Amino acid sequence: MIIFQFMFFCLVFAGIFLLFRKTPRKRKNLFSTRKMFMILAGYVGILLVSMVIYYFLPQHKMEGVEEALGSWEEAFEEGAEVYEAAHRGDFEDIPEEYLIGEKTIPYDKNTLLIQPGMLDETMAVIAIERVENEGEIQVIHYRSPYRLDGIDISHEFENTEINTVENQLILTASSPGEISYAQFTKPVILSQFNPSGHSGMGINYHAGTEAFLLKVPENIEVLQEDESFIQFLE
Amino acid sequence: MSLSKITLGEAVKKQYKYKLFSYYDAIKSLLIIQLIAIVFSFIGSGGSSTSDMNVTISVDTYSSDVVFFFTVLWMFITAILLTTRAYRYEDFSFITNRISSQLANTLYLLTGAAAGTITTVLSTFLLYVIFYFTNSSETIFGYSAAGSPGELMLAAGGTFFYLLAAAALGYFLGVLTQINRLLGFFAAAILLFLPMFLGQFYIFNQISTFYFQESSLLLFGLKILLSALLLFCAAILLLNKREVRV
Repeated sequence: MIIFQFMFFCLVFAGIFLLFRKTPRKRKNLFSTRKMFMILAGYVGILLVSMVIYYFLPQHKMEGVEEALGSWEEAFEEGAEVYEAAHRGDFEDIPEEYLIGEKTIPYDKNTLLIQPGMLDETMAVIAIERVENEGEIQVIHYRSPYRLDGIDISHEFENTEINTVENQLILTASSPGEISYAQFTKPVILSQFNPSGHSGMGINYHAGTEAFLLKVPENIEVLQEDESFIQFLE
Repeated sequence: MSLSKITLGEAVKKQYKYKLFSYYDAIKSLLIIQLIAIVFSFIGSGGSSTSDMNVTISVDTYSSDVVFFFTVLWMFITAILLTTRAYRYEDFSFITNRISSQLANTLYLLTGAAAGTITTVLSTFLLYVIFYFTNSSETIFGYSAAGSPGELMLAAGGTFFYLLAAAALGYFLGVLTQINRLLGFFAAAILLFLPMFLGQFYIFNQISTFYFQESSLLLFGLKILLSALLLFCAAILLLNKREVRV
Protein backbone atom coordinates (compact mmCIF):
# COMPACT_ATOMS: atom_id res chain seq x y z
CA MET A 1 0.00 0.00 0.00
CA ILE A 2 2.81 2.40 0.94
CA ILE A 3 4.55 1.61 -2.35
CA PHE A 4 1.41 2.49 -4.32
CA GLN A 5 1.00 5.71 -2.37
CA PHE A 6 4.65 6.50 -2.96
CA MET A 7 4.32 5.81 -6.71
CA PHE A 8 1.20 7.94 -6.87
CA PHE A 9 2.90 10.88 -5.21
CA CYS A 10 5.90 10.45 -7.51
CA LEU A 11 3.52 10.75 -10.48
CA VAL A 12 1.93 13.89 -9.03
CA PHE A 13 5.41 15.23 -8.30
CA ALA A 14 6.49 14.59 -11.90
CA GLY A 15 3.28 16.17 -13.21
CA ILE A 16 3.79 19.41 -11.29
CA PHE A 17 7.45 19.47 -12.21
CA LEU A 18 6.68 19.17 -15.93
CA LEU A 19 3.97 21.78 -15.67
CA PHE A 20 6.21 24.32 -14.02
CA ARG A 21 9.67 23.51 -15.25
CA LYS A 22 9.84 25.79 -18.30
CA THR A 23 11.54 29.08 -17.67
CA PRO A 24 9.48 32.27 -17.79
CA ARG A 25 11.11 33.19 -21.09
CA LYS A 26 10.87 29.83 -22.82
CA ARG A 27 7.30 28.96 -21.99
CA LYS A 28 4.60 29.32 -24.57
CA ASN A 29 1.96 31.62 -23.15
CA LEU A 30 -1.44 30.02 -23.37
CA PHE A 31 -2.82 32.57 -20.94
CA SER A 32 -1.72 36.10 -20.35
CA THR A 33 -0.86 37.13 -16.79
CA ARG A 34 -4.10 39.06 -16.63
CA LYS A 35 -6.14 36.08 -17.78
CA MET A 36 -4.38 33.81 -15.29
CA PHE A 37 -5.19 36.12 -12.40
CA MET A 38 -8.78 36.33 -13.62
CA ILE A 39 -8.97 32.53 -13.58
CA LEU A 40 -7.57 32.55 -10.03
CA ALA A 41 -10.07 35.22 -9.01
CA GLY A 42 -12.84 33.11 -10.60
CA TYR A 43 -11.73 30.06 -8.64
CA VAL A 44 -11.62 32.01 -5.37
CA GLY A 45 -15.02 33.47 -6.28
CA ILE A 46 -16.48 29.96 -6.69
CA LEU A 47 -14.98 28.98 -3.32
CA LEU A 48 -16.50 32.06 -1.66
CA VAL A 49 -19.92 31.36 -3.21
CA SER A 50 -19.62 27.79 -1.84
CA MET A 51 -18.93 29.25 1.59
CA VAL A 52 -22.10 31.36 1.40
CA ILE A 53 -24.15 28.34 0.24
CA TYR A 54 -22.60 26.25 3.03
CA TYR A 55 -23.93 28.57 5.70
CA PHE A 56 -27.44 28.35 4.23
CA LEU A 57 -27.41 24.57 4.20
CA PRO A 58 -28.34 22.51 7.23
CA GLN A 59 -25.23 20.86 8.62
CA HIS A 60 -26.81 17.44 8.44
CA LYS A 61 -29.81 15.68 7.00
CA MET A 62 -30.27 13.16 9.70
CA GLU A 63 -32.77 13.41 12.49
CA GLY A 64 -31.57 13.46 16.05
CA VAL A 65 -28.25 15.18 15.49
CA GLU A 66 -29.29 18.13 17.66
CA GLU A 67 -29.85 15.73 20.53
CA ALA A 68 -26.58 13.91 19.96
CA LEU A 69 -24.64 13.05 23.07
CA GLY A 70 -21.27 14.58 23.53
CA SER A 71 -19.32 11.63 24.78
CA TRP A 72 -19.12 7.87 24.68
CA GLU A 73 -19.54 7.81 28.46
CA GLU A 74 -23.00 9.41 28.20
CA ALA A 75 -24.13 6.72 25.72
CA PHE A 76 -22.70 4.05 28.03
CA GLU A 77 -24.56 5.56 31.00
CA GLU A 78 -27.87 5.26 29.16
CA GLY A 79 -27.39 1.54 28.64
CA ALA A 80 -26.06 1.01 32.14
CA GLU A 81 -29.09 2.79 33.61
CA VAL A 82 -31.46 0.33 31.90
CA TYR A 83 -29.31 -2.70 32.70
CA GLU A 84 -28.91 -1.91 36.39
CA ALA A 85 -32.53 -0.90 36.94
CA ALA A 86 -33.72 -4.13 35.29
CA HIS A 87 -31.30 -6.19 37.38
CA ARG A 88 -32.60 -4.57 40.55
CA GLY A 89 -36.15 -5.08 39.36
CA ASP A 90 -36.78 -1.33 39.54
CA PHE A 91 -38.36 -0.99 36.12
CA GLU A 92 -40.09 2.20 37.24
CA ASP A 93 -36.62 3.80 37.36
CA ILE A 94 -36.14 3.29 33.63
CA PRO A 95 -36.92 6.54 31.75
CA GLU A 96 -40.30 6.46 30.05
CA GLU A 97 -38.85 7.32 26.64
CA TYR A 98 -37.09 3.95 26.64
CA LEU A 99 -40.41 2.10 26.80
CA ILE A 100 -40.83 0.31 23.48
CA GLY A 101 -44.17 -1.34 24.19
CA GLU A 102 -46.33 -3.63 26.28
CA LYS A 103 -47.89 -6.84 25.10
CA THR A 104 -50.35 -9.19 26.78
CA ILE A 105 -50.26 -12.73 25.45
CA PRO A 106 -53.01 -15.21 26.35
CA TYR A 107 -51.32 -18.33 27.74
CA ASP A 108 -52.85 -21.56 29.01
CA LYS A 109 -49.87 -23.89 29.23
CA ASN A 110 -48.34 -25.12 32.48
CA THR A 111 -44.73 -24.55 31.49
CA LEU A 112 -42.88 -21.74 29.75
CA LEU A 113 -39.58 -22.02 27.96
CA ILE A 114 -37.94 -18.71 27.10
CA GLN A 115 -36.15 -18.67 23.75
CA PRO A 116 -34.05 -15.51 23.68
CA GLY A 117 -32.70 -15.99 20.13
CA MET A 118 -29.87 -13.56 19.39
CA LEU A 119 -30.53 -11.59 22.56
CA ASP A 120 -28.02 -13.68 24.45
CA GLU A 121 -25.34 -12.06 22.32
CA THR A 122 -26.32 -8.52 23.24
CA MET A 123 -26.77 -6.48 26.38
CA ALA A 124 -30.17 -7.72 27.48
CA VAL A 125 -31.96 -8.49 30.72
CA ILE A 126 -35.10 -10.58 31.02
CA ALA A 127 -36.69 -10.22 34.42
CA ILE A 128 -39.50 -12.51 35.49
CA GLU A 129 -42.02 -11.28 37.98
CA ARG A 130 -44.55 -13.70 39.42
CA VAL A 131 -48.13 -12.45 39.35
CA GLU A 132 -51.45 -13.87 40.48
CA ASN A 133 -53.67 -13.26 37.44
CA GLU A 134 -53.83 -16.45 35.37
CA GLY A 135 -54.25 -17.13 31.67
CA GLU A 136 -51.93 -14.47 30.30
CA ILE A 137 -48.35 -13.32 30.18
CA GLN A 138 -47.59 -9.64 30.14
CA VAL A 139 -44.38 -8.41 28.51
CA ILE A 140 -43.04 -4.89 28.98
CA HIS A 141 -40.14 -4.00 26.71
CA TYR A 142 -37.59 -1.24 27.27
CA ARG A 143 -34.62 -0.31 25.14
CA SER A 144 -31.95 2.37 25.49
CA PRO A 145 -30.98 4.11 22.22
CA TYR A 146 -28.45 2.72 19.75
CA ARG A 147 -25.95 5.49 19.27
CA LEU A 148 -23.33 6.22 16.65
CA ASP A 149 -21.04 9.09 17.61
CA GLY A 150 -23.71 10.11 20.07
CA ILE A 151 -26.48 10.22 17.44
CA ASP A 152 -29.56 8.10 18.03
CA ILE A 153 -29.78 5.54 15.22
CA SER A 154 -32.39 3.33 16.90
CA HIS A 155 -34.71 3.74 13.89
CA GLU A 156 -32.32 1.47 11.96
CA PHE A 157 -33.13 -1.40 14.35
CA GLU A 158 -36.47 -3.14 14.36
CA ASN A 159 -38.10 -3.86 17.68
CA THR A 160 -37.69 -7.34 19.09
CA GLU A 161 -40.70 -9.46 18.22
CA ILE A 162 -42.32 -11.38 21.06
CA ASN A 163 -44.44 -14.44 20.24
CA THR A 164 -45.47 -17.74 21.75
CA VAL A 165 -45.34 -21.09 20.03
CA GLU A 166 -46.57 -24.06 22.04
CA ASN A 167 -44.95 -23.61 25.45
CA GLN A 168 -42.19 -21.34 24.19
CA LEU A 169 -41.87 -17.61 24.45
CA ILE A 170 -39.78 -16.59 21.47
CA LEU A 171 -37.95 -13.28 21.40
CA THR A 172 -36.74 -12.48 17.91
CA ALA A 173 -34.30 -9.63 17.56
CA SER A 174 -33.83 -8.97 13.86
CA SER A 175 -30.52 -7.62 12.63
CA PRO A 176 -30.24 -4.84 10.07
CA GLY A 177 -27.11 -6.62 8.77
CA GLU A 178 -24.97 -3.81 7.46
CA ILE A 179 -25.57 -0.09 7.78
CA SER A 180 -23.51 2.37 5.78
CA TYR A 181 -23.05 6.05 6.38
CA ALA A 182 -21.05 8.78 4.78
CA GLN A 183 -19.58 11.49 6.92
CA PHE A 184 -17.96 14.77 6.00
CA THR A 185 -15.32 15.50 8.57
CA LYS A 186 -13.38 18.52 9.64
CA PRO A 187 -9.84 18.93 8.25
CA VAL A 188 -7.38 16.53 9.89
CA ILE A 189 -5.10 19.46 10.71
CA LEU A 190 -7.61 20.50 13.38
CA SER A 191 -6.95 17.33 15.35
CA GLN A 192 -3.43 18.66 16.03
CA PHE A 193 -4.57 22.01 17.42
CA ASN A 194 -7.94 20.99 18.78
CA PRO A 195 -7.38 17.51 20.24
CA SER A 196 -10.72 17.50 22.06
CA GLY A 197 -12.61 18.26 18.86
CA HIS A 198 -13.98 15.57 16.60
CA SER A 199 -11.61 14.82 13.78
CA GLY A 200 -13.56 12.09 12.06
CA MET A 201 -11.02 9.46 13.01
CA GLY A 202 -12.84 6.34 14.12
CA ILE A 203 -16.43 5.94 15.16
CA ASN A 204 -18.14 5.40 18.46
CA TYR A 205 -20.90 2.86 18.32
CA HIS A 206 -22.91 1.93 21.34
CA ALA A 207 -25.59 -0.76 21.08
CA GLY A 208 -28.83 -0.25 22.96
CA THR A 209 -29.56 -2.28 26.05
CA GLU A 210 -32.81 -4.28 26.04
CA ALA A 211 -34.81 -5.02 29.15
CA PHE A 212 -37.92 -7.19 29.29
CA LEU A 213 -40.20 -7.48 32.25
CA LEU A 214 -42.20 -10.71 31.98
CA LYS A 215 -45.19 -10.92 34.29
CA VAL A 216 -45.79 -14.65 34.47
CA PRO A 217 -48.61 -16.29 36.49
CA GLU A 218 -47.42 -18.20 39.53
CA ASN A 219 -48.93 -21.48 38.33
CA ILE A 220 -46.69 -21.59 35.24
CA GLU A 221 -43.37 -23.31 35.64
CA VAL A 222 -40.61 -21.35 33.89
CA LEU A 223 -38.17 -23.73 32.24
CA GLN A 224 -34.93 -21.90 32.33
CA GLU A 225 -31.61 -22.99 30.96
CA ASP A 226 -28.59 -21.56 32.65
CA GLU A 227 -28.95 -18.09 31.19
CA SER A 228 -27.32 -15.36 33.19
CA PHE A 229 -29.47 -12.63 31.72
CA ILE A 230 -32.74 -14.27 32.76
CA GLN A 231 -33.53 -13.55 36.36
CA PHE A 232 -36.40 -13.94 38.76
CA LEU A 233 -37.58 -10.98 40.75
CA GLU A 234 -38.61 -11.55 44.32
CA MET B 1 28.34 49.98 -14.23
CA SER B 2 25.02 51.63 -13.53
CA LEU B 3 24.68 55.31 -12.77
CA SER B 4 21.38 54.96 -10.90
CA LYS B 5 21.55 53.98 -7.25
CA ILE B 6 18.98 51.55 -5.92
CA THR B 7 18.51 50.35 -2.38
CA LEU B 8 18.19 46.69 -1.46
CA GLY B 9 14.56 47.24 -0.47
CA GLU B 10 13.67 48.75 -3.82
CA ALA B 11 15.43 45.96 -5.69
CA VAL B 12 13.61 43.31 -3.69
CA LYS B 13 10.27 45.08 -4.19
CA LYS B 14 10.77 45.29 -7.97
CA GLN B 15 11.84 41.70 -8.28
CA TYR B 16 8.99 40.51 -6.08
CA LYS B 17 6.48 42.33 -8.28
CA TYR B 18 8.08 40.87 -11.38
CA LYS B 19 8.00 37.35 -9.98
CA LEU B 20 4.43 37.72 -8.81
CA PHE B 21 3.18 38.58 -12.29
CA SER B 22 5.66 36.58 -14.30
CA TYR B 23 5.74 33.21 -12.52
CA TYR B 24 2.05 32.58 -12.93
CA ASP B 25 2.69 28.96 -13.92
CA ALA B 26 2.78 28.37 -10.18
CA ILE B 27 -0.77 29.69 -9.90
CA LYS B 28 -1.80 27.53 -12.84
CA SER B 29 -0.33 24.44 -11.22
CA LEU B 30 -1.97 25.36 -7.88
CA LEU B 31 -5.38 25.51 -9.54
CA ILE B 32 -4.85 22.24 -11.43
CA ILE B 33 -3.50 20.48 -8.33
CA GLN B 34 -6.41 21.62 -6.20
CA LEU B 35 -8.97 20.62 -8.82
CA ILE B 36 -7.36 17.16 -9.08
CA ALA B 37 -7.37 16.97 -5.25
CA ILE B 38 -11.06 17.90 -5.11
CA VAL B 39 -11.84 15.09 -7.57
CA PHE B 40 -9.72 12.67 -5.52
CA SER B 41 -11.50 13.76 -2.34
CA PHE B 42 -14.70 12.24 -3.67
CA ILE B 43 -13.09 8.83 -3.82
CA GLY B 44 -13.09 9.15 -0.06
CA SER B 45 -10.53 10.18 2.50
CA GLY B 46 -11.02 7.06 4.54
CA GLY B 47 -13.48 5.11 6.52
CA SER B 48 -13.99 2.95 9.51
CA SER B 49 -16.32 0.22 10.54
CA THR B 50 -17.43 -1.46 13.70
CA SER B 51 -19.55 -4.48 14.37
CA ASP B 52 -21.16 -6.48 17.09
CA MET B 53 -23.09 -9.72 16.83
CA ASN B 54 -26.08 -7.96 15.32
CA VAL B 55 -24.82 -5.37 12.93
CA THR B 56 -21.88 -4.05 10.99
CA ILE B 57 -21.71 -0.29 10.72
CA SER B 58 -19.40 1.31 8.20
CA VAL B 59 -18.76 5.02 7.82
CA ASP B 60 -17.02 6.45 4.76
CA THR B 61 -15.41 9.76 5.56
CA TYR B 62 -14.88 12.66 3.21
CA SER B 63 -12.83 15.76 3.90
CA SER B 64 -10.57 18.35 2.33
CA ASP B 65 -7.43 16.61 3.61
CA VAL B 66 -6.35 15.54 0.11
CA VAL B 67 -6.46 19.19 -0.99
CA PHE B 68 -4.26 20.09 1.98
CA PHE B 69 -1.66 17.39 1.25
CA PHE B 70 -1.57 18.19 -2.47
CA THR B 71 -1.14 21.90 -1.73
CA VAL B 72 1.75 21.19 0.63
CA LEU B 73 3.33 19.11 -2.15
CA TRP B 74 2.73 21.96 -4.62
CA MET B 75 4.41 24.45 -2.29
CA PHE B 76 7.40 22.17 -1.81
CA ILE B 77 7.93 21.68 -5.55
CA THR B 78 7.34 25.35 -6.35
CA ALA B 79 10.06 26.27 -3.86
CA ILE B 80 12.49 23.78 -5.38
CA LEU B 81 11.83 25.01 -8.88
CA LEU B 82 12.51 28.63 -7.90
CA THR B 83 16.10 27.68 -7.13
CA THR B 84 16.75 26.10 -10.52
CA ARG B 85 19.29 27.72 -12.77
CA ALA B 86 16.72 28.95 -15.31
CA TYR B 87 14.80 30.91 -12.72
CA ARG B 88 17.91 32.26 -11.05
CA TYR B 89 19.32 33.52 -14.37
CA GLU B 90 16.01 35.23 -15.06
CA ASP B 91 16.79 37.59 -12.18
CA PHE B 92 19.86 38.95 -13.92
CA SER B 93 17.57 40.91 -16.24
CA PHE B 94 17.27 43.26 -13.29
CA ILE B 95 19.65 45.26 -11.20
CA THR B 96 20.16 42.55 -8.67
CA ASN B 97 22.43 40.63 -6.43
CA ARG B 98 21.94 37.20 -4.95
CA ILE B 99 20.56 38.52 -1.67
CA SER B 100 17.85 40.68 -3.27
CA SER B 101 16.93 37.85 -5.61
CA GLN B 102 16.55 35.38 -2.79
CA LEU B 103 14.67 37.79 -0.56
CA ALA B 104 12.24 38.34 -3.43
CA ASN B 105 11.94 34.56 -3.80
CA THR B 106 11.17 34.27 -0.07
CA LEU B 107 8.45 36.93 -0.37
CA TYR B 108 7.06 35.19 -3.44
CA LEU B 109 6.90 31.88 -1.54
CA LEU B 110 5.18 33.58 1.40
CA THR B 111 2.59 34.94 -1.02
CA GLY B 112 2.21 31.46 -2.50
CA ALA B 113 1.70 30.01 0.98
CA ALA B 114 -0.97 32.63 1.70
CA ALA B 115 -2.77 31.89 -1.59
CA GLY B 116 -2.50 28.15 -0.93
CA THR B 117 -3.91 28.63 2.58
CA ILE B 118 -6.92 30.65 1.42
CA THR B 119 -7.82 28.24 -1.39
CA THR B 120 -7.23 25.14 0.76
CA VAL B 121 -9.40 26.34 3.64
CA LEU B 122 -12.15 27.56 1.31
CA SER B 123 -12.09 24.34 -0.71
CA THR B 124 -13.69 22.62 2.31
CA PHE B 125 -16.87 24.58 1.60
CA LEU B 126 -16.87 23.68 -2.09
CA LEU B 127 -16.32 20.01 -1.24
CA TYR B 128 -19.10 20.05 1.34
CA VAL B 129 -21.58 21.71 -1.03
CA ILE B 130 -20.84 19.15 -3.79
CA PHE B 131 -20.97 16.32 -1.22
CA TYR B 132 -24.28 17.61 0.12
CA PHE B 133 -25.97 17.64 -3.26
CA THR B 134 -24.48 14.44 -4.62
CA ASN B 135 -24.95 12.12 -1.62
CA SER B 136 -28.28 10.61 -0.70
CA SER B 137 -29.92 12.18 2.33
CA GLU B 138 -29.80 8.91 4.26
CA THR B 139 -26.05 8.79 4.24
CA ILE B 140 -25.11 12.23 5.53
CA PHE B 141 -24.66 12.45 9.22
CA GLY B 142 -22.33 14.04 11.58
CA TYR B 143 -20.91 17.30 12.65
CA SER B 144 -20.46 20.73 11.23
CA ALA B 145 -18.11 20.03 8.35
CA ALA B 146 -15.94 23.10 8.14
CA GLY B 147 -16.07 23.86 11.81
CA SER B 148 -16.79 26.98 13.77
CA PRO B 149 -15.17 30.31 12.78
CA GLY B 150 -12.58 29.69 15.51
CA GLU B 151 -11.78 26.26 14.08
CA LEU B 152 -11.56 27.79 10.60
CA MET B 153 -8.94 30.22 11.88
CA LEU B 154 -7.07 27.33 13.48
CA ALA B 155 -7.16 25.37 10.23
CA ALA B 156 -6.03 28.42 8.25
CA GLY B 157 -3.17 29.13 10.66
CA GLY B 158 -2.06 25.51 10.69
CA THR B 159 -2.25 25.23 6.91
CA PHE B 160 -0.21 28.42 6.44
CA PHE B 161 2.55 27.24 8.75
CA TYR B 162 2.69 23.80 7.09
CA LEU B 163 2.93 25.48 3.67
CA LEU B 164 5.64 27.79 4.97
CA ALA B 165 7.55 24.78 6.28
CA ALA B 166 7.20 23.03 2.92
CA ALA B 167 8.38 26.18 1.12
CA ALA B 168 11.42 26.63 3.36
CA LEU B 169 12.35 22.97 3.16
CA GLY B 170 11.88 22.88 -0.60
CA TYR B 171 13.90 26.03 -1.09
CA PHE B 172 16.74 24.79 1.07
CA LEU B 173 16.73 21.43 -0.70
CA GLY B 174 16.70 23.19 -4.07
CA VAL B 175 19.71 25.27 -3.09
CA LEU B 176 21.53 22.15 -1.88
CA THR B 177 20.84 20.51 -5.22
CA GLN B 178 22.22 23.56 -7.03
CA ILE B 179 25.43 23.31 -5.04
CA ASN B 180 25.80 19.56 -5.32
CA ARG B 181 23.29 17.33 -7.05
CA LEU B 182 24.24 14.31 -4.97
CA LEU B 183 23.71 16.25 -1.76
CA GLY B 184 20.29 17.36 -2.95
CA PHE B 185 19.19 13.87 -3.96
CA PHE B 186 20.47 12.48 -0.66
CA ALA B 187 18.49 15.08 1.29
CA ALA B 188 15.40 14.45 -0.88
CA ALA B 189 15.68 10.71 -0.30
CA ILE B 190 15.85 11.25 3.48
CA LEU B 191 12.85 13.55 3.30
CA LEU B 192 10.80 11.12 1.21
CA PHE B 193 11.57 8.11 3.34
CA LEU B 194 11.56 9.98 6.64
CA PRO B 195 7.82 9.53 7.27
CA MET B 196 8.14 5.75 6.87
CA PHE B 197 10.74 5.53 9.60
CA LEU B 198 9.46 8.32 11.76
CA GLY B 199 8.62 6.06 14.64
CA GLN B 200 11.72 3.90 14.53
CA PHE B 201 14.53 6.29 15.34
CA TYR B 202 14.92 8.49 18.38
CA ILE B 203 15.83 11.61 16.39
CA PHE B 204 12.81 11.24 14.08
CA ASN B 205 10.61 10.72 17.10
CA GLN B 206 11.93 13.94 18.57
CA ILE B 207 11.28 15.81 15.29
CA SER B 208 7.79 14.37 15.14
CA THR B 209 7.05 15.35 18.73
CA PHE B 210 8.56 18.82 18.29
CA TYR B 211 6.49 19.75 15.23
CA PHE B 212 3.57 17.41 14.65
CA GLN B 213 2.47 16.92 18.23
CA GLU B 214 2.52 20.59 19.15
CA SER B 215 -1.07 21.35 20.05
CA SER B 216 -0.68 25.11 20.49
CA LEU B 217 -0.96 26.93 17.18
CA LEU B 218 1.04 29.84 18.56
CA LEU B 219 3.97 27.65 19.61
CA PHE B 220 3.73 25.61 16.41
CA GLY B 221 3.81 28.83 14.39
CA LEU B 222 6.80 30.07 16.34
CA LYS B 223 8.68 26.80 15.79
CA ILE B 224 7.90 26.82 12.07
CA LEU B 225 8.79 30.52 11.70
CA LEU B 226 12.14 30.02 13.38
CA SER B 227 12.88 26.85 11.43
CA ALA B 228 11.86 28.51 8.14
CA LEU B 229 13.98 31.56 8.96
CA LEU B 230 16.91 29.27 9.63
CA LEU B 231 16.42 27.37 6.38
CA PHE B 232 15.95 30.52 4.27
CA CYS B 233 19.02 32.15 5.86
CA ALA B 234 21.07 29.01 5.27
CA ALA B 235 19.88 28.91 1.65
CA ILE B 236 20.72 32.59 1.14
CA LEU B 237 24.16 32.15 2.68
CA LEU B 238 24.89 29.02 0.65
CA LEU B 239 23.82 30.54 -2.65
CA ASN B 240 25.50 33.84 -1.87
CA LYS B 241 28.86 32.10 -1.89
CA ARG B 242 28.30 30.78 -5.40
CA GLU B 243 30.45 32.21 -8.15
CA VAL B 244 29.08 34.93 -10.42
CA ARG B 245 27.19 34.06 -13.57
CA VAL B 246 29.46 33.50 -16.51
